[in-house]
Formats: sequence, C-alpha cells, structure tokens
Amino acid sequence: MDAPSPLHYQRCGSCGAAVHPPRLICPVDGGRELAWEESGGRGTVYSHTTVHSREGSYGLCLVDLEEGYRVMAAGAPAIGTSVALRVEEGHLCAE
Amino acid sequence: MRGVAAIAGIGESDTFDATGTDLSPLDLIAQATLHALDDAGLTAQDVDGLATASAYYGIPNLNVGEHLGIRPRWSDANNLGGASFMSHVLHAAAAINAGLAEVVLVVYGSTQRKDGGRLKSIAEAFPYEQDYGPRYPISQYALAAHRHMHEFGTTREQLAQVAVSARAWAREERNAKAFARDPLTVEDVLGARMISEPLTKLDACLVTDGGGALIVTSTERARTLKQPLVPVLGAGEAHWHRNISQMPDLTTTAAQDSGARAYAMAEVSARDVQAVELYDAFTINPILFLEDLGFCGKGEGGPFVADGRIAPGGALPVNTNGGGLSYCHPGMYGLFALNEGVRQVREGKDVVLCHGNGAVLSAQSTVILGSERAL
Repeated sequence: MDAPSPLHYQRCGSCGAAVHPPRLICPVDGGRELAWEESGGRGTVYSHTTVHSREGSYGLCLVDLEEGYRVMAAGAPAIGTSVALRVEEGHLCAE
Repeated sequence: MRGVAAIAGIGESDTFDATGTDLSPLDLIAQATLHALDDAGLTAQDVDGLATASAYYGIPNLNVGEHLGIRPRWSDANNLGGASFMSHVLHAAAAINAGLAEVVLVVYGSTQRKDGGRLKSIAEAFPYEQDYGPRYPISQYALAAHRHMHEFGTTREQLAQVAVSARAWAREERNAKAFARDPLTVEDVLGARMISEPLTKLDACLVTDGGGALIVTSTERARTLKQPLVPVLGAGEAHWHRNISQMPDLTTTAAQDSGARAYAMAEVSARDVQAVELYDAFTINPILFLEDLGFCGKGEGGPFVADGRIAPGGALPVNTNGGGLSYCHPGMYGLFALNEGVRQVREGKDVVLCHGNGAVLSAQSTVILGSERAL
C-alpha cells in the first residue's frame, strides 16, 4: 500500500505508535486500526553518509521526525542538526 | 542441546579466485565438500541432511543435492544472508537432536569475483530508501559507523585498526591461503578511495570467489570419525529489521539476543571465550559485535580494538584467518568464520565464538564451539 505523500505516515489507533512504511498491522502492538496522518517534516538528523562515485558525490541521511518515526532523506547535514524536510519531485530533502 | 552435535569436517574450495576458469558456484561447493568429507572420513553417501543458502540459485538445496548426488531426509534452505550458516549449524543440531538427520552437510559457493567483481546480491529494492542512492550495502554500514562515532567518539583510526589487525592475521604463516596478504597500515586504510563516508574501500570486505563446507553430526558419531571432537556448545539467532531506516538503534544489533541465547545454551560467558571469529563485512562490524557479545561495554569497541588487542599477540584473538577483510569474502562469509573456529579448537582453544551477520546488520547468529575438555 502507498502513502498519499512522502510525508504521510500511519498512527496506530490502539497504542499510538507512529508507523512507517504503511502496513495493515501495527508492528508494535498488533493493532489493526491504522489511520493516515501527515508529518510537519521537522526532525533531527540521526546519521548520514556521503556516497562517492564516478558520477560525483551526494549525501543521504536518516532523520528522526518529531512525530516519532525515522525516514531516509537526501542531504547529509551533521548529526543532531534540526531540519525541516521538503518534498521535491516526490522525495524527501533535508537541505 | 548443549554438545549434542559436533562439527566433524571442514573444507574450502581450492581457490578464492576463479577468474579465467570455467568453475561454477556448484563446482566450488563440490571442491569444498570433497575436502570436508575427507577431513571427517565420510563419503557423500553418509550425508542425510543438507543446508545451504545462495545468491545464485533460487532453490539451492535442489541444485546442491542434485549436483552432489545427495538425497537428504532433512533439508534446510534458511537464508539469513551471511548469518545463514551459523543458523544452519543451530538448526542441524536441533534436527540431529530430534532424530531427523545424523550427518548434515552445510555448504556455500559463489563466483562473484569472476562474474564482475561486485557483490552478488538477492537484496530487493526498498522504495523508501532506494531513491536516495545508498550504495548497498556499504552505505548502510556507513550510517551505523557515523552514528557510533557521534555517540561514543569512535574514530576512523580505530575503524582502520580492525582492518590492519585482520591483515596481520592473514599474514601469519598458517594463513597462506588468505586472499590479501600485503602489509597494511592505518594510513593505507584512511587514504584508500572513499566509497561511503566514513568507510573507504579498505574498510570493506574483499570480493572473492570461493566455496565452503562443513559437516555437523551427532557428538556420538563424531567420536568415531577422524578429527578431534569439536562440539557445538551453544547457538542462537535473532533478527529485528531488514532495512537500515527500520533498525531501532544503529549502534546496537540483535547480536545481543543471539549471543545471549548461545551463551545460555553453552553455559559459558564472554570471559570464557579464547578466540572470536566475527563476520567483518565492514570495519564497524567487529566493533559492534565485540560490544553486543559482551567482550566490552557499549561504546567501548573503538578503544578496545586499538593498540593491537585483537591482532596476533593481542589479548583477544579475533578473526584469526584474516576474516572477510583479508582471508576471503565470496558474497557471504559466515561459513568461513565457522571453519576457522573449528581450526582454532583443533589447534588447542577450548571455547571459540563464531558470529554471523546478514544483510544490513539485520540477521545475527552466534555459534559457540568447544573442545572435548569444554564439553
């Protein structure tokens, strides 16, 4: 199943966990009532790496969003940096 | 299940570089199997159980069984990536304990070096990560390494010490078969081509060809065979995630669980372990596993591996064949860590821990081997 947008996630109706990627059963408590919510995109960089290839270099990172889940995004800000993720051409960008 | 099964034979292919030959993964498996059977003093007709995992064959037990003429009554196609083979040993011991098999052949083979020199992988694309371009699997390990550096002050020099220590082991006379035996310094590792920060090409395991085989049988049967007894004292497996963005804490692996299960079955602790064979796909791996398996505290792995502590002559022998960083790494290394663990027991160690890692720090499986004295 697909989320309506890259910043959508699910909230479990029974335990309240933020769930991402979307699924039918909550991985925390097995709850079956998962409802769409949209993240504001604000979070903190958990880790990052810059990939070097013949075509050039680019960064990617993991961001812990305020709503309580983690996503991968483009860009490599320092760990601990507060970021506001933007959606560009369907992808999450941290810088 | 402590000590009900033992590893009675080990074997490896004649080469870790099949470039320019017509050898297939099955041929390398056959080479390794012949050596393992001879090592044990058994024939293929004695084998009644088969376990394997592969990135080449979709239903690999069928290919291996057909190729070797084995008709198993128990067959395990468990695939946990590079950790598969530690789990095969655990499952084989359980099957032997249950009377479902008596002589289990565990095998693996790959010609990934000959086939293009890149990891041959069956990993599927994960839509929530693939568009950001992580280079599978090194970028996932780089994310873990960076987080470990951030939380605990681990340095790139400490990471490099893992590769340097592994190379020093590979250069030992007994490891003449190791693929990479040139001298290696910390500066070499730091100065190598950066692939995914903070990991360079020399923080990454080798890309070799190779086949491996081992034979698990009942301890009772093993006593009648050629080699000194190497009982399986304990084993455990665990996995918590598949994709790196779903790993709860990038500095803590499920080796905490697999290790605890293996120690409980073996009735030993990290203090009793005299040699450690860890799946070192990248230099961050042994640091994480030494912590999660109780050889040092969480966050202490960087200082622990510095100053030659895990190198020849150090306090704790780790990856005594050179590991996946210097001995061989044909796509999945787990079986080769087990074989080296068996050699360590045969050479006099009483308790040896072998640990496998699969995918992106995902699957963790631990096997503790012992000597007759430790049984």
